[in-house]
Amino acid sequence: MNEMALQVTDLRKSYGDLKAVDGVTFSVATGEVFGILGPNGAGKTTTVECIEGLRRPDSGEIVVLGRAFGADDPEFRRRLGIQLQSTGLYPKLTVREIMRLFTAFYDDTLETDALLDLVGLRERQNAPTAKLSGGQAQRLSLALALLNKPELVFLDEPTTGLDPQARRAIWDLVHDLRREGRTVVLTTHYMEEAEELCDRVAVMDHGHIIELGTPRELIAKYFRETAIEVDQVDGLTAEGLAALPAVGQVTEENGRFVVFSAAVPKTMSGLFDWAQAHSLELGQMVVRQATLEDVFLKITGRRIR
Amino acid sequence: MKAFTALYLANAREFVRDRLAMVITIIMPLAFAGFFGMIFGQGDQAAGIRLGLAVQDNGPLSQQLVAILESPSMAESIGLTVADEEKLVESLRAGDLHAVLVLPAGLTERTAAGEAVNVPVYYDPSSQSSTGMGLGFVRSFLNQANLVAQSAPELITVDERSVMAEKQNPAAFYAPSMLGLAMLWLGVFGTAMPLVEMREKKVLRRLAVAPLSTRTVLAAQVGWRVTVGMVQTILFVAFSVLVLGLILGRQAHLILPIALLGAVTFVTLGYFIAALSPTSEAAIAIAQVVNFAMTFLSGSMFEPEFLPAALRPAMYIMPLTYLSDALRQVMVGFRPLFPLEVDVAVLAGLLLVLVPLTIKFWRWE
Ligand SMILES: Nc1ncnc2c1ncn2[C@@H]1O[C@H](COP(=O)(O)OP(=O)(O)O)[C@@H](O)[C@H]1O
Ligand SMILES: [Mg+2]
Repeated sequence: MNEMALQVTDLRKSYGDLKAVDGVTFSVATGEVFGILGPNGAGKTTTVECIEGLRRPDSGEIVVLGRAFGADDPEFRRRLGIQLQSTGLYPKLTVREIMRLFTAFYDDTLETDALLDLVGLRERQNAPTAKLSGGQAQRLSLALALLNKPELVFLDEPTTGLDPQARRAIWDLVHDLRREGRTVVLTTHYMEEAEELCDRVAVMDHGHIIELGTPRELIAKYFRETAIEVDQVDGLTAEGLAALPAVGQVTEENGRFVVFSAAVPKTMSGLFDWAQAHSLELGQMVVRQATLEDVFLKITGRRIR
Repeated sequence: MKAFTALYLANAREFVRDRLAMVITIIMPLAFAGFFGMIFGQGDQAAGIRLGLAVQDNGPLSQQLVAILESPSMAESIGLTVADEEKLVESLRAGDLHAVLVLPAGLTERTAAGEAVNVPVYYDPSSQSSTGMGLGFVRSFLNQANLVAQSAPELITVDERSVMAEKQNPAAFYAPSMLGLAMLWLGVFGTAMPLVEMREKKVLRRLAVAPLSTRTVLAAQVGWRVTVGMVQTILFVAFSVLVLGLILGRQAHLILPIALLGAVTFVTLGYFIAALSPTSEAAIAIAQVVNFAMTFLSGSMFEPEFLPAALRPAMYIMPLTYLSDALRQVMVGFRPLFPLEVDVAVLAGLLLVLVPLTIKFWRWE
């Protein structure tokens, strides 16, 4: 499993003065689910589409499944599954007709009905693609990326704009791919998605990869602490919280303080003592692990959305 | 091949389900041809056959035939003009006669000697009255003449000579010209605009990452549109014959090849426009300019003589001029603007120039 499915070295692509991708290097092992996480405009799509041969990089080396990849190589493309972030299909063809069309491009494919069931589009199989909802179109697009049983799958923001249920369905599909030992490269700007799905994550911002590792590694590196969320109430201040035992950092989020603590019991008892001393009525409290979202905020000083 | 067939069918379905495309590329040209053919086609149905007769033989057989033609019973159905051959052919060309029959020198003598004689009959192949009534009448008349001459085997054979009338049946002009326009519309509205739309909706992009060669994708798209062009041609020919009552010319076998060349050339022109258009707004603008210029300056909407002299030179640079001209010639034997070879050479030359240019400027997104 040490074999590399994808190696990208010092990839660069500019649009005029804008360095959309500015020296990106990473590799993806066979069987790995690799995430590229970053806000809009970070350069995720540009990176992935350079790899897919849709855009011509200014410089850099790209090795896909052990070979340098030329853009127009139909035979080689049979081994890849690609879902584009922005794409369209023949609007007047039905879901089933589109699946049949793409099935004809390959020799070895999944059975259409099975695939329709897999992505939950059986009921919409006779609907013209123009009439699909966003989630349905996304799932059709995913089905087209999977129908040739690809070794390497690219998913560019597969769940953006979907409701939680539709997102869950796509997550399940990615879990299946992983179980089958396929290699997946996916981009997302959802922290929880990267945490849930990816073996390793590259955090990308302004065309650079600013961190790369497993979600756990990243969190451990930046937050050896646990997050304690405390409702804001009168008299409770960020400075006061920061002075509590074992507290590293305090941030504010949606009317709550987030207190990062290296030792939860110490911090908690300090907080209770302090509240009693000041006759404060504390609101709700939640103790949770730090997330990639916290990591991103910490590295860039900005929230991802 | 599997991929080509699937893509071809996808293009076909997409097109057939697009009502606007169907109306613009198939129904509208037919409706135009019908409309113009009918409104300008009135008055061609003058009662009686106007027959010209040139007598160059004084023998008894000829005298007998002339006598029959001049008899009062015949006068009811034919208006006979007797003059010399040259003058009569001139009248035919001016649209005053339906047919001209020549009784050649030596007719009596040679038939009497058992020799077969060709009797020249001039007619206008683009006029239904001329071909139907004029030529038809002379044919059956000469059959009877064979009986009169009591010649067996039949010694008098008809030597049909077509003469283009200056003033032809309007439908003979409009039907092939509208077929030419239909090819133009297939190119600009049936090819350029949908392609740019597919590019904007990122359909082409999705195909670009599928395991397909550019050649397969283009072949399937061009192939389907050329099929539409051929179906259109067959519909047009059927419509012209069955509804407009046109008689196909002697070069009717060239209709499909010429239409094929036209379809391929104009579909390629559509690709060229799509390649040059960054957005669908741009495509619409270019398509409208091209369409307007070609429609009115190519001598397809009205006969080239009606073009103001100042605009006449523009006619020569419109590719549609040559396609419409070629189609008129091969469909109904309409009087040519250019020799057929010139028309074909211009269209083929344009195609040869457009293909590399289109490939050069083509973009998937
Ligand atoms: N074709 C293009 N022309 C000009 N700028 C582009 C183009 N594609 C992307 N960009 C710019 O490059 C940057 C990275 O874009 P993108 O790769 O789409 O980011 P992401 O997928 O992470 O949202 C953005 O600032 C975007 O505006
Ligand atoms: Mg993107």
